[in-house]
Amino acid sequence: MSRYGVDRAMRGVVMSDAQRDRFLAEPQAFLADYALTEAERVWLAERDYGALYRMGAHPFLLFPWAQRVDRGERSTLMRRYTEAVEPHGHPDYST
Amino acid sequence: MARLVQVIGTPHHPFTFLSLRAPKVPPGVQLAMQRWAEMRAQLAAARPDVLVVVGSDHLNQYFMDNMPAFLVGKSPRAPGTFPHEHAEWAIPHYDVAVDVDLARALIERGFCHGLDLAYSDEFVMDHAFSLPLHFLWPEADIPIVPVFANTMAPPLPPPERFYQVGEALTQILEALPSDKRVCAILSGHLSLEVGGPRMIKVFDEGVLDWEFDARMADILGTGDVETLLRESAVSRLLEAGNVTTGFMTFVLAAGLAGGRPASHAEALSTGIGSMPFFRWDLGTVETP
Repeated sequence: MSRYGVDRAMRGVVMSDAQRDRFLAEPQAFLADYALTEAERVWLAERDYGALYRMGAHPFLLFPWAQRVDRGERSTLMRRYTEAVEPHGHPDYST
Repeated sequence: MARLVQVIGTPHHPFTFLSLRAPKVPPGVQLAMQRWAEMRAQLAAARPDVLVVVGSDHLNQYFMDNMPAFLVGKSPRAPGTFPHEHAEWAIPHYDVAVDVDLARALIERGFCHGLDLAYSDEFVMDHAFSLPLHFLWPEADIPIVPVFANTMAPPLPPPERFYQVGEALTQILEALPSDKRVCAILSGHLSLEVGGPRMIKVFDEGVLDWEFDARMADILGTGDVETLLRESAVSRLLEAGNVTTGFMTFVLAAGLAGGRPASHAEALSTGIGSMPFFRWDLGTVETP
């Protein structure tokens, strides 16, 4: 488990259009630059919000990241995202 | 000697500008704009020579590779905000001179007041700084000293430390051999959840934890420091929302004000979450 690596990968996508475009075009190549477990690569590439939230990804990065990589309408994304994270309560997100 | 004449506590709700662009501006946001205008007039009446601005960076400038608890910006200019915040939320840019002498003095004298403040000569201020500065001093014609506080990336300083830092900064300011009038702007928030399951409550109901918001405003209005510190324990703040720890900048405000009751303490219900508006008048302030 490497929350720091996941947070770092998400932050790049949140802050930079170029990094977001690269992630969307070639997620595996993008994620190869970060220290992540295999499971974390899959969760990020598949946009598994629930799994990322459960492992302690920083929620202040996770939702903005979801908004950047999910092409859905905002209110629809908000509900899908909430359904994904709700079963996991409030995990520790300290690194 | 320098004098701390006013302390202001403000929100930095990033949806403010998008709300103002909506075909129908929510009534609560219109009220917030009135409060900003009132705060701006009060600040002008305090005739500051310099603004000490304390806020949390939102993992934009500072990250877990090197996270300062408290950091003073001492470059000659303080630019804000980040391009993605401008693009996403229409946060205005704000570029202002830094009072480098005062910034250095806070750092140097801090060591003898129990503060090991980090410093930076290259940084960008995010919306926690540029938003309140835009509303409170749009002319950007007096210098600031930005102070970044970690309220987002645990382990966090506890509320007691925020209070101590406030007390120490006032002691340092008031011992400086200058006659500058200093005002402090503390940027923070009340109950807030981002990226957690309760985030949708604000989306649906317009408020997260009104009981918490009203209670904390009441406590700052009474100047009950013991209760403030107890109720601001990190574990309690997290019960009110997963990033409510951003309230701790107002604990620092209370420390700056020496624990005095706030002259104005309000949790404003806006429909996009509660917004804090606090003010402590500490010196001679002309009524606007």
